[in-house]
Amino acid sequence: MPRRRPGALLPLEVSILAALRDGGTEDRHGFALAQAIADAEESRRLTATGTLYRALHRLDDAGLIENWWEDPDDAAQAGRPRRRLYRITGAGVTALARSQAEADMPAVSRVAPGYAS
Amino acid sequence: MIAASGDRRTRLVRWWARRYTAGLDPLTAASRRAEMDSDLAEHERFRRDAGWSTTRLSRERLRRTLAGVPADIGWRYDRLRHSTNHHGLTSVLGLVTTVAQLALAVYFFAFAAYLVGNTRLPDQQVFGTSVLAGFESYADEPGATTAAAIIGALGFVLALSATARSISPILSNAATIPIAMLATLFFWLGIWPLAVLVLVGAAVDLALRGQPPALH
Repeated sequence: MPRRRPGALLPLEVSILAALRDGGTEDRHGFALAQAIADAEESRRLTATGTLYRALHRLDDAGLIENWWEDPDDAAQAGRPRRRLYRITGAGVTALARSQAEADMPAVSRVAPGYAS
Repeated sequence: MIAASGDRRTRLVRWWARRYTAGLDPLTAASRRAEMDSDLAEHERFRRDAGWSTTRLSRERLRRTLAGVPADIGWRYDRLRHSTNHHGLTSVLGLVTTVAQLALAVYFFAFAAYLVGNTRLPDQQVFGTSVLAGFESYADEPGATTAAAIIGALGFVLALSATARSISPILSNAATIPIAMLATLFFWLGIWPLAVLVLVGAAVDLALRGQPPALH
């Protein structure tokens, strides 16, 4: 597998950041993100649990998102386990914009001069 | 904490979460398990809203878990690496020991395979079935011999690195020899399913346990 270029985002990471950014002020938990990504990609299947949460941890380690646990009282009141909530950071917005701009750029031809048909 | 309720598939999902977080920093492990617990609960809420059956939900949970197993293992390694970054010398010692064990085991596997390859024995019958898998000795199959030696040695050393070293580094090194020979015997007898099962188990064991405990 080719080594990832430093600073480059994987497709899933782009999807996560886009889902967080497009969610506006709404903080999202992991499962909600999986749903948002599936909706955006018009997929019937949710991202695999391990794949999703590992990507979230990577983004968190890189400072592109931040997370915190919701108030235990809120969770108890709703009758469910506490949610870990995620929010995109300023660095995340910048990285996402850069990644999307690069994706929109036309591919540079790698054909050596004189070999183009 | 992940509750111990639910159907068989969901219990498997929870078991896996406990397994790949075992031995990690307690806060990291608890946090991950709590997040998995939350994910399961949210999935259950989604099921109710979507009108899914519980069978469909548990099947989907299992699919999501199985598809994410490599990432779970990778995540575990990320955490272990992160937590051992401050113990450079320990990591180097662990690496050197593992490489030494690997070299030793490959040597014994290769040596055993050579002996086996040069020893003609009568066809072995187990419950009326030949267990020599179509050829009389590994000398007839040098490629298979080499692959078996390397893969077998790697699998067993990996297992030993995780389990035996947690008991004693000396035991770990010493145990390499008879276990490598035993694995060679499995291959020699052509009991491939057993050999593969043992090796897969060893590889998973390593993956779950990650780096061996510090050598003191």
